[in-house]
Amino acid sequence: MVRREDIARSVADAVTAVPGVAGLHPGFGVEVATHFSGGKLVGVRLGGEAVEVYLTADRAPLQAVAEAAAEAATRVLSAVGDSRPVNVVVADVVPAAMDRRSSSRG
Amino acid sequence: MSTPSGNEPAKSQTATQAAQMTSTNTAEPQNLRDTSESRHDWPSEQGRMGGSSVALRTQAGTTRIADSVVAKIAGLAARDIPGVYSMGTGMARRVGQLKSLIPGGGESGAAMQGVGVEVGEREAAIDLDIVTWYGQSIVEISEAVRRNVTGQVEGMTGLKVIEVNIQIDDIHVESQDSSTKDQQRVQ
Repeated sequence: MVRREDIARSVADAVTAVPGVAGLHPGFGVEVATHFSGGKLVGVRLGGEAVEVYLTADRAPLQAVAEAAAEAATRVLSAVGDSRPVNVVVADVVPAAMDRRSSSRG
Repeated sequence: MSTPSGNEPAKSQTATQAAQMTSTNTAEPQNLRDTSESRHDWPSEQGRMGGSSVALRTQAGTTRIADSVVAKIAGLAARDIPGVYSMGTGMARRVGQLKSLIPGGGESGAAMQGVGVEVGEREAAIDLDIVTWYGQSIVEISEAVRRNVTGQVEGMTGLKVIEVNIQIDDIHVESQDSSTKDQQRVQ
């Protein structure tokens, strides 16, 4: 059986590889993290009814970034047999992304 | 010679004769299972062992695993999860200390506080009392604890873990005194 830690890391790697994602985010109030023996991975929560991913974006439009991240996460999870929905939250933006004209709008 | 109580897998819902109660159960009382009485007849072999245990039979002999071992593995596996601040409650800790003074009253140690187990020949059910951190998802921490405890107990003992019940006894809040980055606002 695939370890929970490895699933969380795979989701994290897939999401941060998406163009427009600057990194993962711990969320607000309740920390978004996946716990495993000896540590935790912040920004992805595998426990619960849906998988939650909180990220920081560095490219606009944000909706496209969020959808791409959700798609990447879903692909990883289906590969291990987890068919739960993936909720993506753009928790923060890199300020430079707001000034720059992004190429995706061109 | 095995006791009649060891012949059936433990059922989670009822306090059946199949369950061998461990005297190291320090979880808060919830149901019939929470009694420190041993449920078997103390035949000579198990009496000499000094505690209840599960027997794994092979052609070449029998391996016995004490219930307290299963409890210890579960307790350590739960503590491994960073979201678990501690196990058990203050009351359980005091009860555990009293029990350890009674001869044969159990081997309650720090590793087994807040852990109760019900073990049959092939299966185990585990009850945990944990204290988590404020601000962290209890759903997530419970899932992580469940996974790690199941994985460790099944991997180390070969028993099938049929359920891991978790009770959150308390939430730990980081006190303001422990924060070292606070500076005096006024001189």
